[in-house]
Amino acid sequence: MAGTVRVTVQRFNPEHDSEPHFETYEVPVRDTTSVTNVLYDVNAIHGAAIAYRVSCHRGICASCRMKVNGKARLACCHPVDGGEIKLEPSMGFAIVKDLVTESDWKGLGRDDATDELLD
Amino acid sequence: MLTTDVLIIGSEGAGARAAWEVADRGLQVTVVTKGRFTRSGATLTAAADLDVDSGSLYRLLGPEPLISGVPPNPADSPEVFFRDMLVEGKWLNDQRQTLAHVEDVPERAREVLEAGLRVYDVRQMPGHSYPRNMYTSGHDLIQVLKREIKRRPVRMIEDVMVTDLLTRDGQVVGAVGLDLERGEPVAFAAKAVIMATGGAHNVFEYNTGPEELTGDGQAMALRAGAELLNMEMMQFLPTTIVTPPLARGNLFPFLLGPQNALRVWLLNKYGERFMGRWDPERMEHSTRDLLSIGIQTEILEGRGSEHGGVYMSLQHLPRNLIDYFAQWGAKPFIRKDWYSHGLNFADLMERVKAGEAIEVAPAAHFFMGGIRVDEWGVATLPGLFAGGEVTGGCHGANRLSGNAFAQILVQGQRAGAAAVNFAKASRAVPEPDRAQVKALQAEAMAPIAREGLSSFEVREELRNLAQQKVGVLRDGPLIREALERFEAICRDAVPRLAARNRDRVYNPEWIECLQVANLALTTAAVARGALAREESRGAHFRRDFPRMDTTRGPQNTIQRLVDGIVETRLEPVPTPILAPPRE
Repeated sequence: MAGTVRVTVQRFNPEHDSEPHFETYEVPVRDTTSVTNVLYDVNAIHGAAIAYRVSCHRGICASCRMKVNGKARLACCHPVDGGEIKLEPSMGFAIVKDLVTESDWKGLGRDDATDELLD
Repeated sequence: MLTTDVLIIGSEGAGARAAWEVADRGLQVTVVTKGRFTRSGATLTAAADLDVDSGSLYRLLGPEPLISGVPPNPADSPEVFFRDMLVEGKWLNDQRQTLAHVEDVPERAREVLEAGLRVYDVRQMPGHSYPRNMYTSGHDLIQVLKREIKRRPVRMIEDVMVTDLLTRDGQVVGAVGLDLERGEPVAFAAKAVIMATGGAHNVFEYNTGPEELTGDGQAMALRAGAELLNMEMMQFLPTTIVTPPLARGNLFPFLLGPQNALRVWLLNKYGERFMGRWDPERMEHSTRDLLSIGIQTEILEGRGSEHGGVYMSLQHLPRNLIDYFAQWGAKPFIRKDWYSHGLNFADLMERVKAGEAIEVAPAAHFFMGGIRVDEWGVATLPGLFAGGEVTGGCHGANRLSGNAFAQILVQGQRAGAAAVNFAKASRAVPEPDRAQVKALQAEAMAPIAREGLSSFEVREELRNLAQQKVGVLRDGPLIREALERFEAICRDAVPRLAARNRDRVYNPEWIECLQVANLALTTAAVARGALAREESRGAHFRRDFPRMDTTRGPQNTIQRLVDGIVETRLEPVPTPILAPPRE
């Protein structure tokens, strides 16, 4: 098996975007891979700097939760063989950048006081 | 600048247990992680057991057996456990650390059991004289740590990557880093700093580690002037998935067998059960180091499988026995429907039952070496403490199954206690040197300010070299070749790493530049250690020195950074408690 995948990603960078928009990239796929591996390749090949979270690569941490073709999925376990995929950030949290949303960890997240101390 | 009594770098297993301890001892504690608390790091991913000597386990859990039908055995003791660790660690253990480990773990286990840790089973894993392996999961342990942290005044800062330690008059006084969410430099001043950043797995193409493990702690410690110990001692998990890339390095085959459960066969391309050449008695039920060496030798010498592994066969096992395994065998890591966490292995198991073998290869799994510490987690640089996988010494040349969870709890608690004692001795938080803060922050910011090399290409080169030349099988000339490149990369490429994209907010290419710098230095330390150790011992196997050096007794490799080079010296391993047997 050898082919390509066309991946359409919702991009949003608060530094210069007022609204999210979509961009499409193409990367080769040799054998069944994951959505997060595809994102790594897009960044490596195209210098796209798409922000996404990934940690465990086996569906435990749920860091990589995002919408794949409109459905909530764990991107690290979602198989990709080619064709087209559309990626959007998961619902319900503010977007930090692209596919990275704010932490859902309540109570210990960064507060304004911490932000000030970091300056 | 944020000031705090104790700064902990890394938020999961050892870091969280250390934070718990510092808070209980009444000092201010700040934890900083480049990922997210409870959603990153190695602890969460562990399909793991927690080792306690079976005698203590008998007192903690009672005499009744669980799923496997193996009851705890009161004949076991911390002394027997200690001896097992030294025997399997090939007498390279820091004996004081190992003693602290076996003596403290019953109490650390009692705390987490009281806090609600779920136990699925008790088993006896290879290398243990008694059933000591209390089966739980990383997810279960993290839930316990999360509840305990939540109840305490711990300041948790996520999405901040610490990039370097601050030193003043030879003492660690804080750290600088990058706030990933804003792309701004940050600084911390602290009376004591605890490093709990885990291993450096991601330099290997086949690895079982999460994304964050890029040798940050080891590299920062080196750059600040601290010593590392036995960095060449890396454990490989012998049987992980080769293909497809979706699951590459996944430990599903390891959960299926040969150590944990089914008595599978490992075959080369001729169908030969090659483990007979390495461990004729235990065969596939051997220890992780021998299995990895056996498998990698077949691959290297051209007797491997189609896609670059060896064959793990279940064909001698009845189909209904395999189906029954799904019900009892690897709970909670393999489900009845052959899902393992988020990955679906049902198709693979259908093919196995139809007659196929699984192609498997060893993956980088655990760093036995790391920051040189004593039994209280005190590093060789005043003000610096460390706990968990980022440290070296506890396991010697090979880690026994279940001893990683034991280590993070024991060392996390001890590093927390020692850091508190150290911090209490200073009245005020020391003032970092402003010039050093500016200079180190400028280095962290540099990748988006300069033109230069792609971090992805450099990582690719590191990954290929590490996998082929400082992996399971090592050989002097190959290590030397790799080392030359690692050092050239540290010297010439790292200062030129640049992100093509100049976004400041959460820029993965920028983060990658900082991580690749740490991976390169940590891997150079691994290669230097591997070259200096002219023998085979435990997980370290040299084809040009295939035997253990018995003429001068066990030696430590001790390293520090001098003019950009990881200087490595050998020193005899102190044996204050138990002398190694005469060869």
